[in-house]
Formats: sequence, C-alpha cells, structure tokens
Amino acid sequence: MRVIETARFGTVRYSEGEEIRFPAGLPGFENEHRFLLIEAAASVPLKFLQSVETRDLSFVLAPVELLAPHYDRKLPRGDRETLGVESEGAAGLEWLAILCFARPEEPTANLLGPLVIRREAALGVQSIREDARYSARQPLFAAAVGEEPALCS
Amino acid sequence: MLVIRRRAGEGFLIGDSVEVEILEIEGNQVKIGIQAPREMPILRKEIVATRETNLDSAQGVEEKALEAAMKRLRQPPPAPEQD
Repeated sequence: MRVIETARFGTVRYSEGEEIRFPAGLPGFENEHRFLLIEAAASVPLKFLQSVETRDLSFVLAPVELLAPHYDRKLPRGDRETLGVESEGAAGLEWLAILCFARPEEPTANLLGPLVIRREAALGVQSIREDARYSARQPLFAAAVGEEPALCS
Repeated sequence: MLVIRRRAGEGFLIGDSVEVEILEIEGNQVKIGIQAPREMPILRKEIVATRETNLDSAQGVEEKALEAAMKRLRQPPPAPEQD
C-alpha cells in the first residue's frame, strides 16, 4: 500500500498497480508521468486525475460520451503506440475530457485533447486531435444558453 | 493576416532563418517542411491550445461549480421546447 497526501482528497491510499503512467506527460505538464484515476460515488459521473508526484495537481474529468455522444474515437498512430494497442478504434479504452473551471460559471471541456486511458496496461495519453470540429474549450452548459434556469430548491 | 498562394514544391521565408516549403498536397491535407534554428519551438496549434487549457484546468475548483457540472452531466441537457 502506498500513501500520498493530496490537496483535493487529503490522504490517499492505493496499491502500486493502480498508478496510471502517462509516458509523455500532458502538454504543460511534461514532467508529470504518474497519476491516479479517482472515482467517488458522490461525484459520479465526474472522475479525477490526481498526480502522484505533485500533491496540488489534479484535474476534473468527464466521460467524452456524455459531452459528445458521437465522438470520433480514432486514435492516431503515435497514441496507439504509446498505449500499445493495434487498431485505430481499439476497445477497452476510456475516453475522458478534462474540464476547465477558469470561469466557474462557464465550465468548459477539452474535446480537442481528451485523455485516453488503457486500464489493463495502466497507461494513458492525452490524444490531441487534428479535427476542427472539436474545441479545447467546449462550453459545458451550451444547451442552457439563453434559457431560464429550472426551478431551484 | 498575410495570405499567399503556393503550389507543391514552392516555399517562402520568414526572416533570415526560417524556410517553409509546401512538400505535398493531398486531399484536404498539406505536407509542410520547415527549416528553422533548433532553438525555435514549432508546435502544432492544437497542442498549444491544449497546453493552455491544461494549465487553466489545473487550478482549484469551487465545490459549487463542481456540483453544477455534476448535475448537468447526470442528465441530458433540457429539451428546448415545453409540451
């Protein structure tokens, strides 16, 4: 069992096999390679990517299919090599978009560069698309623009 | 923005040290060769956008904003019309 202190989750205990390795890091965080994918019943469907090396570093994630049901899941060759998968549309991969709360009232999701995680190999990559349909800052509440908020309790 | 028209095999210079050549045009893709000093970073625009977003996303989140995002994702967006 390993123990780390984190800013978001306090003390986290985990086994070595739970660590997910990002061989290339993430753009902007090229030296961060070891992360935990944290899920909690209370925050479904959100997940969190917590750095093992930097206690303050964590990202909020959402499954891509909830943001874009028909998301194009073709993996470029370089990312397939990183994850050790053969086919473009390999199964057993988890696609998660990083959410950004720089403007808390208008969160966005990065659909241009989703995280692709292969749990069985404990590997991950931030796969950056060359597809102008997808934005690095896709508004989360796009459908709510111009609408009255629903009844609040 | 400066706009110039080039064919495959043609190129242009940026300053004294950067040379860009259009190598190949195929369908909606263009293959480009760039000669530049090693210390000059050349990055795909998508990577720059993702790096900036990553840096913004690594900041803390207020609990309230997180709750709102969770709620939004637990249910499909409201239908635009009422019945």
